[in-house]
Amino acid sequence: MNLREMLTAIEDKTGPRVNDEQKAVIAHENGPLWVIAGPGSGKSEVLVLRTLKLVCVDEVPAKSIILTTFTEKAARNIEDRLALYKNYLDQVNADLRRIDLSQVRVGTLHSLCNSIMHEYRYVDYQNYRLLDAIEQLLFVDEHSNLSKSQQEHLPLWQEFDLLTERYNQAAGTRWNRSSGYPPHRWIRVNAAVTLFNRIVEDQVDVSQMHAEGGIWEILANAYTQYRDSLEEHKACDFAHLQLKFLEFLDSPSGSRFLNGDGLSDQDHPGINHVLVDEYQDTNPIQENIYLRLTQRFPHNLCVVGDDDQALYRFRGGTVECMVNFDRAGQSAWGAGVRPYPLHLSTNYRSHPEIVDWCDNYIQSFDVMTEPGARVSNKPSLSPDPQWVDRQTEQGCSIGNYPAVSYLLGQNYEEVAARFAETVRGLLDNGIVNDPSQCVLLLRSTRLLAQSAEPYQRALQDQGFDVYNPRSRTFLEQPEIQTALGTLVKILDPNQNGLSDVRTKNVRETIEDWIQVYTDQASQNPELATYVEGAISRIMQTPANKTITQSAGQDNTMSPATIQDIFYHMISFEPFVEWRQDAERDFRLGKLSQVLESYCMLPFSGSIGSTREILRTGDIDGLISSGQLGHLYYSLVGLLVSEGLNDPEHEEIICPQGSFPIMTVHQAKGLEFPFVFVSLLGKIQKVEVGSELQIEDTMRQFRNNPSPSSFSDQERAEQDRIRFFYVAYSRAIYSLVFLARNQDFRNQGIGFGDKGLQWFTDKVERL
Amino acid sequence: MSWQKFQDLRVPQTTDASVKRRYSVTTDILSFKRCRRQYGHFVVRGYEPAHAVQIYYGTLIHQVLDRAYRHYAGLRDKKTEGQIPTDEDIEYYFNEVDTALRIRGIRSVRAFTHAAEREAALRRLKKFNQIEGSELYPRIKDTEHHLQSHQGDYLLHGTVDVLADVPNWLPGMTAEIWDYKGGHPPNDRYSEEFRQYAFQMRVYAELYRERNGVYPEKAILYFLGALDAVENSSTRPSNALIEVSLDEQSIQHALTDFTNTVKKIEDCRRKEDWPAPDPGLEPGKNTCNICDIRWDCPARKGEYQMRYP
Repeated sequence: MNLREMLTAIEDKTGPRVNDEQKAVIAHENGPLWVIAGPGSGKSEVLVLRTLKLVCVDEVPAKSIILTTFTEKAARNIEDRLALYKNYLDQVNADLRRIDLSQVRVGTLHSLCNSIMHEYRYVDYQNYRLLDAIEQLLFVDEHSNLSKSQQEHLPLWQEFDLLTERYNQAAGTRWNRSSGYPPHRWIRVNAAVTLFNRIVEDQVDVSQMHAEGGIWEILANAYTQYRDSLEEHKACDFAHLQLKFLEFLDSPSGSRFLNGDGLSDQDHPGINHVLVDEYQDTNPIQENIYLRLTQRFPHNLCVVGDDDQALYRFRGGTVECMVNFDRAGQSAWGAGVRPYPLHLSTNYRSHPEIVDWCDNYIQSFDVMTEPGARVSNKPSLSPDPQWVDRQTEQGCSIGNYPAVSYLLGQNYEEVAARFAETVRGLLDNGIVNDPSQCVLLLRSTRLLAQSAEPYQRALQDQGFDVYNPRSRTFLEQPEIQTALGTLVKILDPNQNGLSDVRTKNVRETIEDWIQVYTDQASQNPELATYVEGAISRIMQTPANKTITQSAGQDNTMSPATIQDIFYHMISFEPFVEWRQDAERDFRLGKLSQVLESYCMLPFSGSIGSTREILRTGDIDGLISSGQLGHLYYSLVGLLVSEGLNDPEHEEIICPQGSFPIMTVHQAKGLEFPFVFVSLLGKIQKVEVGSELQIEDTMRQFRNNPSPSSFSDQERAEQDRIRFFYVAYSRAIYSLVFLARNQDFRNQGIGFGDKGLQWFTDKVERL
Repeated sequence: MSWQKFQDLRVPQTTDASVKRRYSVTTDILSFKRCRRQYGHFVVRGYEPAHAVQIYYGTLIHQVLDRAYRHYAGLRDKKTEGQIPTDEDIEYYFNEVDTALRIRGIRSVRAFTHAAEREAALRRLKKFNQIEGSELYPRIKDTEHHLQSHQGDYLLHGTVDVLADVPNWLPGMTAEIWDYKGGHPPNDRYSEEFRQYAFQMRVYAELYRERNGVYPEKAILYFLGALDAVENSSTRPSNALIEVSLDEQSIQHALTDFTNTVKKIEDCRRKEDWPAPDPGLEPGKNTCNICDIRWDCPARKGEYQMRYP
């Protein structure tokens, strides 16, 4: 099959799919390829078709192709499309049926690192526990020196003041560098996690950092100690997962994976092609992995992305990876190797006025037009000339309406009320069919007065269900508070342990939970009876003994664990009824995961010991004060400090019938018919964030830092401009800005570089 | 009113962009068939089982057998290529895996009988290696062999423990698929337990066919528990290895069963309801005895006395 036949076979089923720009990407033969693809330009489709062409036209072994995406959802979507198109091809050419496309390795880089190392039984990874974000915090809290309050660490915390000068919910205070003592425990733990991750992701030379002395020596030692602890306890965080993968590539089994076994093209063909989506959010260690995977000539690394849509500097993503891909390729593979640049600049997603707005917006800034800010020679984003016709064909009536508009109010409440009224009108008048066709994008979706709270309330007042899983209100739900209150009541019935807790917010939170339990127990006598029975069983245990469970059906003895207590309690009302409600049941499921994480993480100094099994202390019948203190300070402290989000649906973006409120990061890669944004930016200068501070300070210890010719302030502004650009370019039919009158002054990132007049000339008021 | 400016606009229904659901033969299909209530909690709703213990024994068995084969194939160390592992080698690998699991805090189901279970597992592995190693290892093409296939609206996947060449066939023409079971063989071939094992192997056979064009020549279940009956020897007990028949009809039957199970799962998902098994369809006692949510299970009403704390 040749490429023309392949595309014809697919387009016969789907209608026209590819333009000339896209065809050039699909047809590219060998060597590195640098695809700069604007929003809505069909980049995922191009990746799918290019992969299909490699396998079905070029007969590259499927297993020798790696395709990475930013989320698992995106990976599954690509797999599905590959299978669908392959099916079309099989129908015209039966010979292709022998090709098994499911062997293409599609996934996020993290998931592929994990599965490949398992597949090759990499000894330094097999049987490791991969720590999620919560577990990493718990691990650092337990094992790292930096979690301890040590005066000698003070200068380190002061150096990273943008990371540490923040409010902490558990502490109930905001730390500042002049306070003369180290910040609160959970600020330290959070900061330590961020620094450790960055050391790995930025590929910092730790010995060089150590040699610098002073705070750098402290940090280097703390990092080394953390890494040793991970190894000792066979744990691995997401940053180290990537580091281990690089080490794997250098091992004999890694070499077999990379270069094949020379015997079988089907089982171990080596790696021939790597395709990367969303390359603009790649961090240095990931860049290194990609360059390493394609070290063999002819370096078939195809990166696809848009520098204007870079969002993840706080995770070490550097837009420079995308902007300077040509230089990185040459430095890794030799000066003679030139990545071939191709641009995808037609936007098929959005109304032409939205496309024009987005393009005008990003090009209006001086700081974006200087060399090095964007990929050089980048063409303007252009609307699809057939956009309106295509919509009409699909049964959409376009008519005449303001595709880009704004809505004002005196204060947040009024803006929110007018916004919710508008949504109500859109739905009641059949302009949209379902509230999930709209989205509200905010910088923070927390239920605070200046964030999501007024909008969520206004939507609810208009009768909408709101889907806002990242509102950090997990702990405020009655099923969670009752479960935790019941647990505390059983483990510490007279609150002896609780009275020792010095952190006021933590203690008060636990007291609230106990009160919630008490209220529930008064209405649910069976729960109360169980709790009494549980307390009495613990009371019968002599000092310094493992607490065992009362005999079961088969008379076996088994130790009592926190998780057992959880499962016992939820078999009584009110939990039984709550579990009938899917949303509450998912939350209780998540709580069981958190308890498992807490229980199964190793504790320091004792290999293989976990916190799951309950023991009495020096007093008969009482859980040891050490165990209680740890539960309160570590687990509860973490929960209060972090606030936890609700579990998110794995397969869907937003349930039908609900109105989604999202952060811009959540909306990455998605599109919505109606996009409401309250992102115009205030008049003040953009603040330089901790991510830039860390990037700058770590740079001195990096072996091969990518060059950046911009100041912190300029990069902060560029990041903010891109952040808004991502939000704006999610809209299909309508982009609506929401603002208070007082925000509507002459300047603000959202108004472009030229100010309010420029904005109001282009954007219609609702 | 603001919306009026949009009154000429009619946004079409958004097409469902959700991805196809993935179904694993064991984690989804067999679990659901065993008990839909348990499946709903632990697989769908994300409850984490109280004891990571169920995985101890299975992980140990599979990883040691995998190491034994890789020893022979020279994949761990070129020097051992072609050599059947000795008892000492098996013990070494056993300790390696056991230590790793111990560091992770993963123990056997009953912490108090851990040592005895551990010893029994080691004995079984040594016997397996002695009895089967020299004949099996040279034929192994792959271990933990992943198979998947798009079945209309969903994707089905599974992992075969061993893929082996068939004696007297050209390599690559067809294969045997093996699945290791840590426990004892079922008493009869009509038991529900055995039927589920056979179902699993027939679904694997179909997945294999979709990739390779032919069914595997044989599907073999190997019960390591049966090895307890023999002293160290080279004779396999007759009940250790059970071959599952792979005729067209039984495979089609398994696939129908499979499709029906997926329909039932989808139905529960739509209703967001995972009821207890209907009377007569309760899983075996072994399943319920270690189920964390047995206490209020309508299918086992009153059978389990609450334990404290």
